[in-house]
Amino acid sequence: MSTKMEYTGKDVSEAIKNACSQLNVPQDQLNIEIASTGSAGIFGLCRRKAKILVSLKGEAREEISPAPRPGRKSKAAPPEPAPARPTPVPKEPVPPREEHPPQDVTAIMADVEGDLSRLVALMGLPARVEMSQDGNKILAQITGENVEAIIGPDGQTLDNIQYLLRKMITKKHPEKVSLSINAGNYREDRTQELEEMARRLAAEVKESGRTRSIPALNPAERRIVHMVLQEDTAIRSRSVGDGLFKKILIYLPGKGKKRPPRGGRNSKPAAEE
Amino acid sequence: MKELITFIATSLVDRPEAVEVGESVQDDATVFELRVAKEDIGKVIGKQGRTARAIRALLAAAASRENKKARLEILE
Repeated sequence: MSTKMEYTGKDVSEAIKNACSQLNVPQDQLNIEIASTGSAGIFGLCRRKAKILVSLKGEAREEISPAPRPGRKSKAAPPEPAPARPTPVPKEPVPPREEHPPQDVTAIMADVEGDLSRLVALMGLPARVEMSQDGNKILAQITGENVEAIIGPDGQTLDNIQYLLRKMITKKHPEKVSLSINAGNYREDRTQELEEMARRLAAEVKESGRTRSIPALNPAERRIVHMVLQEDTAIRSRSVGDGLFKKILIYLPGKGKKRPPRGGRNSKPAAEE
Repeated sequence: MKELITFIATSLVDRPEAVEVGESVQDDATVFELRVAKEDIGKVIGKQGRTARAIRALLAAAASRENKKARLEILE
């Protein structure tokens, strides 16, 4: 099994181009898996990079050399793209299931399962832990009678567990690991709750024209809100502020750009006219 | 709870052999004193105390399970 490397770019074809030039191999010698197609965003808001996972096909493996090979890296697409590679800008992300998890992912999953089970047991909240994999993302699902206590108030205990587990796993496996921990249906329920809140506020903004805000969300939660609101072209959303005080503003485009929602807290002079 | 702190701390530091957890009772709370190697202190505290806060949160969850109060102090 060859290891997978991650490359990013402003869209998928640029990410592929980056991969080719850094590895000095033509595109048809790469197995390319698209982790995220990226998005150009709206007026530069919510821009996301495309991310691909790349591994070398058999024959090419010995060929990588640090010396640049001119001519290879200059153009994005070699004349004859391999049949196996996905089209440059596919609409949906690659389906999660792929051949076999590489060896190291299996080892990481075993460590996550062991450490997480031990952690909750030591907290006096023993629970079942099931592991699964979604693309390059590792998912740990906690079930059992202690799920409520493990989630904690507003999911705080769960988020702290996830934070510590990520640190513990990064310590053992320095390679980039994407780990997500769920307990019961917490993540699903929370996502739905946030989506509903975002849509409700968006409707209010459209009706009244007044800017609304959502405070106190963590980065993953803010992402969910932005993703939902991106679908709605009549309104805009963005995050302002720093750290724990970061909040999301939902507003109508072009209307004074930004108004502090209430009181005199002006957070960033970013979009003054 | 002592094992909980020990487990988390040893998993985060470079020198797990230097991790020590002491336990004492003060008033109505159990106080845990976590000692790690000097160069590892940052690892158990984290950026802006994020890691220390997470450990304390899990400790609080574990303590409330037993209707106790627990405090964590990180010492050099």
